[in-house]
Amino acid sequence: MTIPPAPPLIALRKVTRRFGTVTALEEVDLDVAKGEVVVLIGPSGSGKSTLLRCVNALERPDAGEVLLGGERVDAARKDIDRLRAETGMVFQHFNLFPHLTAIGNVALAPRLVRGQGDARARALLERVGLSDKADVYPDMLSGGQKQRVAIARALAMEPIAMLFDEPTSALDPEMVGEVLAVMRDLARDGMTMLVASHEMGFAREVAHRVVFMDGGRIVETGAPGDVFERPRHDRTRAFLSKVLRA
Amino acid sequence: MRLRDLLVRAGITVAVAATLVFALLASRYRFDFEPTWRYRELYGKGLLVTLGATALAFAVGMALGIGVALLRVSRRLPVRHLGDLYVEVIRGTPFLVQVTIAYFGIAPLLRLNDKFLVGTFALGAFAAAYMGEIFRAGIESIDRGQVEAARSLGLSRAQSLRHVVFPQAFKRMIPPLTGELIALTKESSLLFAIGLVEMTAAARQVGADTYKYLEASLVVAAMYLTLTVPLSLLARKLERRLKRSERTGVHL
Ligand SMILES: Nc1ncnc2c1ncn2[C@@H]1O[C@H](COP(=O)(O)OP(=O)(O)OP(=O)(O)O)[C@@H](O)[C@H]1O
Ligand SMILES: [Mg+2]
Repeated sequence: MTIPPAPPLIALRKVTRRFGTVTALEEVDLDVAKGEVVVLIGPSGSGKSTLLRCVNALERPDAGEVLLGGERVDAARKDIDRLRAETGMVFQHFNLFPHLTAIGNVALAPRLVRGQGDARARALLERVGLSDKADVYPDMLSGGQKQRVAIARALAMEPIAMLFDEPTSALDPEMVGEVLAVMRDLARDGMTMLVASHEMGFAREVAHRVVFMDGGRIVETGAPGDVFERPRHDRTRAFLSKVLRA
Repeated sequence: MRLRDLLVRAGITVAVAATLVFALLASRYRFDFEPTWRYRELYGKGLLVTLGATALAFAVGMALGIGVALLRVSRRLPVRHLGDLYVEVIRGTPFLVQVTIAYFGIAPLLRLNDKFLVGTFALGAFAAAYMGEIFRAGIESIDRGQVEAARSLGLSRAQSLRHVVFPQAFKRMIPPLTGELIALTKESSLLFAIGLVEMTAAARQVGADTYKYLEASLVVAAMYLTLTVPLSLLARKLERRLKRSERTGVHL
């Protein structure tokens, strides 16, 4: 798949983030174009989550900057809430609001922030195949259903990009497929997506680009076929041989 | 199951009460409640003061307590210290001393000399230290991912607290808050220190006037239990319901 050149929707410029003595991200540069699907892979602790969280201002870089649609993402800016709503974040452990029903979860932000009604939220639940679960509380949903509600919730503010942090790692194997199907559907619709995932099949099929990270740095990046078939770095090869064997 | 529980509970209560009555009778003490009955109006006034002081102090404690909790979970260190200081000072001194200082030291500065108001606010400020801890524990028991999810959707800090954290935390705080209300009902008796005549002070006065100290105290004990036992039953019921909905709790 090829994509036309366009200014990046998400841009990381020499982003560094440290936690004490640990450097979670070190001078990371990354551009994600509009409509592009980028999958981040890499061993545990390589900085994938930290990278995603910097785009959403859940983490603050120690150096460098993150640009979203040309605007600087900075937790200190006055309109950070509006800017945050421009990206939808999907978490490994769903983080659904347990005191609200499925529809309540999806409709909360549009209602509070924009004074919108439930109609769009209902349409989103239908889109993820859960219109019959609208009035059900999260603890009555399966893992796969929870994550689909979480995706609908992240879409509710009409984000220009979606961030996924290992959205299927906490799921039983038989539920992975239904979540990936929703993500595939989003990608097909042209949604810009930045995904941390170990689902190599998904990456191969859906990603325009795969980014391999290790030790807080981007080691290599390229089309999934290239990275998977002809990795240029030993570290990539070592990592792939581990995950692909599994 | 429920019925058997209830029967067991009632049975134990009756047995204990019967033992107490028997013990008192065996002591050959000649009970005489007639003088106590003559003072029913004083008891009534005391009851009203106790109820009013408890309710108002609880409300003040809630409001101040939320403030104390927010201070103590602040991102800013000096603000956190301010909250810590408040809790340390209140918890490190007896209420009897606090209310005396409030009435003779602070109230004159504010040109206040209404015993009820001063005493009640002092009691509320006292309760706030404990209720603040309840609120703080409640807020901190909520997973960090909840706030992150809320903020990532574009909710402000205040909206996240109000619509995501508080509703979940409050449910967990109901049982300890009920406990605090029960404690306040009893602690309001310490307002006698500034001359406020609530239930306990009324009973002491009855005792002093009639020399029927035991009867006067038994009556006021029964009055306290009438207030506190339903509250504690309610707290237990709410807690059971909470445990069921959160699937926690073991019997040892
Ligand atoms: N809040 C934090 N405090 C301290 N250290 C942190 C924090 N968040 C991340 N780190 C550290 O930063 C490094 C990168 O973590 P990160 O979670 O970004 O990795 P990851 O690639 O997402 O790993 P995983 O596959 O396990 O999710 C790790 O060494 C981690 O221990
Ligand atoms: Mg991670």
